[in-house]
Amino acid sequence: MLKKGTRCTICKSKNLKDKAVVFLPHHRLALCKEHFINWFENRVEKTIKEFKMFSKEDKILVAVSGGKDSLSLWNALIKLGYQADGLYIDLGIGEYSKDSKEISLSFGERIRRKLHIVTLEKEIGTIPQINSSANKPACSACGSVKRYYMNKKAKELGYSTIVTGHNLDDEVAVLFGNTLSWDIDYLKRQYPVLKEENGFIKKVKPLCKTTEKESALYAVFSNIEYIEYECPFSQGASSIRYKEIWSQIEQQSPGSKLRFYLGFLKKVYPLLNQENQDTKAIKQCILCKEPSFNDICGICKLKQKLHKAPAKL
Amino acid sequence: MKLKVKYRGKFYELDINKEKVTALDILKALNLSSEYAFVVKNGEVVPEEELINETDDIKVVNAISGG
Repeated sequence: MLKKGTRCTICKSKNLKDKAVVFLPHHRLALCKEHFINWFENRVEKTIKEFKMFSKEDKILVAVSGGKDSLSLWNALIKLGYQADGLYIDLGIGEYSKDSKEISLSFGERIRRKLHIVTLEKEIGTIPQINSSANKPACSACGSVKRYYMNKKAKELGYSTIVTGHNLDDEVAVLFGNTLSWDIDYLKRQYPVLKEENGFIKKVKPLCKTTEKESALYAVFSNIEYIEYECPFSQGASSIRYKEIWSQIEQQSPGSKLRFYLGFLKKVYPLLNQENQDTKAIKQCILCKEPSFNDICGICKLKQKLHKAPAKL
Repeated sequence: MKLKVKYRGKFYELDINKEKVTALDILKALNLSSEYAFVVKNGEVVPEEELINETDDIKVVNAISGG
């Protein structure tokens, strides 16, 4: 816990007297507002370089939801000098989508970058409509639909890379869930960089080493307005339960989340991706031409289920 | 002490049975941990030990989001 009156670690080293407002136990750092902002942006920059995500010459597309992670990331990327535009997917979830779209649009105007919008109602159907006919949890169906349109639109719009705001807590929760069920196919693909191949555009996660709290603090310190309430479909989501469990572990043993995630990337991910492992062949969906493991991709099947016409060719 | 706090876009009234209330008391009253949540007092992020008055403008940020 940060004791009142603690001096900022960086200020202290420079003989300055600024008080810390943030304590990062896993880094043993107490920071003032200004040095926390610098620390966060440096961490993003270092992660981009460490995993060779993209360069300042690349035209990148940030998946923007209106939440703290995507907006903080977009803000940091622009401040760091990257050419980052945004893509907002309007999920059609009542007030939640209306508010998050407005927030995203106004943030795009603030940083003077283009925000592309995909409206699911026009493309396939809203998430509430999809949820009533899909046989899987809302968040899972929503994730598949978002990934599909992110990939498709980024290619159509000529971007080289999709950048998402998944943070360390998100990655730990997913890794934990996949480990609980030993879902090897998912574990094999859990890496902060997914290279461009077989019709999939390059996808990267520059916040994979920053926590959800760090991202929220950065948003507050940078005066970023973000959607503060939760998507109504996320109530009871397993990812929230896992995050609460991990928060307890982290509190008892600071650094556990980073250790679990980075240990996986360094020690387990390479084992799972050795060349002699069988990989399921990727085809092209016969309807929309997007990558698919089957003749017809999941999204086109969903469209058929929703009694809509097959995807536009 | 009775306090009005903004949490996840809505206002709540907390009744904390203490004369001196800290930011940490507010987090506890909302059943939140400082591992993922923090208090913003009059527009500034404050340490858990910070004393809170009834007249302060209080916002609680819970960083956990799901889905």
